Amino acid sequence: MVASQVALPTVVIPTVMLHPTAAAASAPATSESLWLQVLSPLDNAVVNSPQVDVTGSAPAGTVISVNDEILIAGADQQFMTTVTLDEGPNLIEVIASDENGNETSVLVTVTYEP
Amino acid sequence: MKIFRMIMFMFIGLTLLFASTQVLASPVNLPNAQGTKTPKGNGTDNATQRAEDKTNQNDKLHGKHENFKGTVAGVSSDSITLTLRDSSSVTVSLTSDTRMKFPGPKTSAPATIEVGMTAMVQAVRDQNNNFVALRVMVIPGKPSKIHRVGTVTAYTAGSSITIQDKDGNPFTFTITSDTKLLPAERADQLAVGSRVTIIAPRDPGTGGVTVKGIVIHPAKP
Repeated sequence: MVASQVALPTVVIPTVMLHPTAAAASAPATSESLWLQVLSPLDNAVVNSPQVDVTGSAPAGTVISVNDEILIAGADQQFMTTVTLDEGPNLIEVIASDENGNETSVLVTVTYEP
Repeated sequence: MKIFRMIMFMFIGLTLLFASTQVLASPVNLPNAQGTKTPKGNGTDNATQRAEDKTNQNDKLHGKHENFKGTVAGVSSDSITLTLRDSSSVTVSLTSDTRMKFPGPKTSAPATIEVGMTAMVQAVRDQNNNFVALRVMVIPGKPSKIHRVGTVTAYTAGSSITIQDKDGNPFTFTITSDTKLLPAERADQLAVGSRVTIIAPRDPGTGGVTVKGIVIHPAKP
């Protein structure tokens, strides 16, 4: 598999806390910001395989959807799934959300050239 | 004089040999070659001609594939111009062979390319060194799916689910056999009162919003 270039797509948004005091006391994890980092493939990558592993990281327990796949980030804050590509340019949508209803997303374009 | 005759004899011999090989190799002597048309063979000839035209057209496209991503600055029936990230621009020809791709639900995905959209173009160069698009993919401004978090207020297994979000807004979704319940070990805990995240298309189709997946969050103590 050949992959090329560009910056890691990362989006960080602040968490909206409905009851900051209660939340901080009972569930310190919710004081974190929701963040999402897609580690691979890189945006604008060109690959020669019809399948590509999508890996990334987000806070533990974050709900992640990668195109039609649904995942939950593990305790190690990692997630991974495999996406099947069509020949030519493909769009990979990675969406993350937390239990407070915050949502963020990263769109990655990958070109499959056999 | 004797040597001169020998050279002339060899020259004439070689000339005859060369001429005979050219005659034997000419298309006239090959089956189905031009000049030996079979009856009612015009359809085959036309198909052959079209195939040759296509091959010639493809032969004119050369070089490695080049990919461009940018904002559509102009588009017509035969070309598209992109403004790239570095503010430069590139114009790529569109042909009848250019494949268009509009990711997202068919009910809401755009059917045409418009100025201001983000697009990715895969192109090669033609015989004049101009870019010709092989594929064009429009990149939507928003993801095609949405995650909705809320508390289940109504649930009929295999049929529908209604949740209320943190602002009190109700949302009802259709459940099908393709709907995934995650994590598997909490699937049987899905009930009214459960806290869930619904993954569904951002734009509803004509039959309502069908759930892709339901994530059941652990009950809080």
